[in-house]
Formats: sequence, structure tokens, C-alpha cells
Amino acid sequence: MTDDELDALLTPLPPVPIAPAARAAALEVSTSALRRPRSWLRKWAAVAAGFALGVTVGWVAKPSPATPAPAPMVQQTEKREPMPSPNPAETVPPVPAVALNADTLEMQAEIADAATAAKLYRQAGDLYLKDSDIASAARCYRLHLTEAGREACTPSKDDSWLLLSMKSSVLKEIAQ
Amino acid sequence: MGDDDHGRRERALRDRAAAGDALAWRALFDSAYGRVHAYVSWRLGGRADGIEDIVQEAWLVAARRLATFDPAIGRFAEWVCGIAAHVVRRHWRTHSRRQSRVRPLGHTERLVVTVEEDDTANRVAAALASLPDRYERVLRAKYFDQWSVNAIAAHWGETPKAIESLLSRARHAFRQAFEAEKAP
Repeated sequence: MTDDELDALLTPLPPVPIAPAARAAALEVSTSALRRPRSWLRKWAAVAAGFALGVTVGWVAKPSPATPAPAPMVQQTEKREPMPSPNPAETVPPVPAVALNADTLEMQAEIADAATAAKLYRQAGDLYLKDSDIASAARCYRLHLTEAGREACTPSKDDSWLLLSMKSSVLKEIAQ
Repeated sequence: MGDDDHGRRERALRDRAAAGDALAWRALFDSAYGRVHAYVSWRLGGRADGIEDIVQEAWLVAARRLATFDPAIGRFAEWVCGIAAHVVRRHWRTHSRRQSRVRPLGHTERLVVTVEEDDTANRVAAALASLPDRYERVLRAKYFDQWSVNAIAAHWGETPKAIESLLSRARHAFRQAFEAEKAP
């Protein structure tokens, strides 16, 4: 490789255009991170609270010293009749409904058409937000807004605080 | 605005933002977003995919670590670019691991064309991600910031000869890393 070829490789290409939704998402997520304690602090606080609760319950529910000694344990044997072989058709257990998690929804959205993807990204964003994963929620909401287009920026009463905030930022960016 | 004024302004904004002032944070964000975005684009060799996730993560980390930003050491945009450099490196490691586990199924003609189009950008990104910090910084100053050797030397407090030498070693390391990224 010549020096000129190397220079050409390292010279910046025309910059990738900045997407208003992405910019708004980065601003929202970072602004909310300013106000929130770090996630590991929250996790440790939750663990400490759980431990304190366990200790309290254990203390309250401890057996009283006046409790009489339990009766001696005896083992009872029982003659079991052989069970008839069941009909295989009747033994098939019902298939439990699979609860879709945010990761699965996001993966499905990546391979779906635009309209379905917009809906799935929105659902994934809601689930991430429920788990307090703000960064992933913002990513999914941003992709939702990108896939759904400008009509999706209209605020709705079902929107989460983060999505509402991002919609508002996108509308402001578009208006400027 | 001089460097001192700039530093004072960024220090005041940092203090207000760290205390939870969203407007101060927005002012810092607006002043640096374009530069951080362009830097990540350069680090990815011009690839468009993944850029928004990396930029967003860099800003999230910047907000969490805002108290550690020292305007006496450098400008805010440079500080966030430094964070973005680490995020890019981590992202690239994950990307490389994932790519090594994936191979195309079935009709590969279109995929092969796409891979060839991305190949140079991927190799540039991988080569930059593999360089030591100091080499990456001098290449960034030379190619991304388009500073002269003398300007880099003055900014870093070193002699032009030392910067020439460092640049030469960094280019050599980049060339080797780029060549090593060729498809087997």
C-alpha cells in the first residue's frame, strides 16, 4: 500500500447525516442519566432492601421458645397398585403461552416489514423501560419513530414518559 | 472566544449540569454532538450502521461521568470523543466476535456484493480499533482534525520531530493492521 493510498483510507469520508430522532434519543437518555443514580447503585440498594426485609421477616416469624416438642416422626409405607398405562393422547401437557420478552420482540422487529417493525419496536421499548433499561428503551423508541415516520410523532395518552419526551424533541428538531 | 473563556464557560456548564440542570447539559450536548458524530463516523471507516447506537452510548457514559470532565485538560467535545473511542473499540470487539460466528445461507450473490462494499470500511474500522491509544490520537489529529505536524507538536507540548516519528510509527502500525484484516 502506498502512502497516498493510506492517506486516502484515513481521510474522513463525507459525514453520515445526523438523524433527528437519534439526536433526540441521545439527548433524552443522557439528560435522564444526569438525574438518575447509577444502575449498579440502584441494584445494590434493591439487594440491601431485600436482605433487610428477609431479616425482619425471619425475626418476626421465629418460633417461640414455649412451642412443645414435635411428635416423633414415623415412616408410613403403603402398598401401591400398579397404575394402568395412560392414553398417550391424554398425557400431552398443554403448551404454555410463551411470554415475549423485549430482546425477542426487538429481534423480530429487525426482520419484519416496516409497519410491523414499528409496532414491535414500540412494544420492545415499553418492556425495556419497564425493566429500567433506559438505553435499550431509547434505542427501540428511536427505531420505532424512524420506521413509523412523522405521523408517529403525535403524542398519545398511551405513550411512556420517555417516548413522549422523544416525540417532543423530534417535533422540535423538525420545526427548527 | 479564547481557550480560557471557553474553559471557564465549559466549567460553569459542567457544574450546573452535574447538579441536574438540563439546560446546561443541553448547551454542552449541542456544542459537541456534531463533532462526536463525525468522529464516530471516521472511526467506523464511514460505515453508517451502528453509528447511532455508539454515539448514544457515548453520550450516556458522558452524562454519568460528567463530574470527571476537567476543562483544564481539554475541551468537552474532545473528552466525549475519548469516551466514544472506548465505546467504538468495545463495539468493534463484539461485532468481530459476532461476525466470526455468522455465515450467509442460500442466495449469497447479493450478500457478497454488500460485504465487498463494506469490506474496506470494516478493515479501516478494525485497524483503527486495534491501535494503541497514542497512535490513534496522533492519526486522529492528523487526518480527522487535519492538523499540521507543527500544530500537533504545539498542542501536545512536544517537538515536531517527535510527532513526525510518532506519526510514522502510527501509520506503519495502521498499515500492518489493515493488511492483516484481509480476508483469508
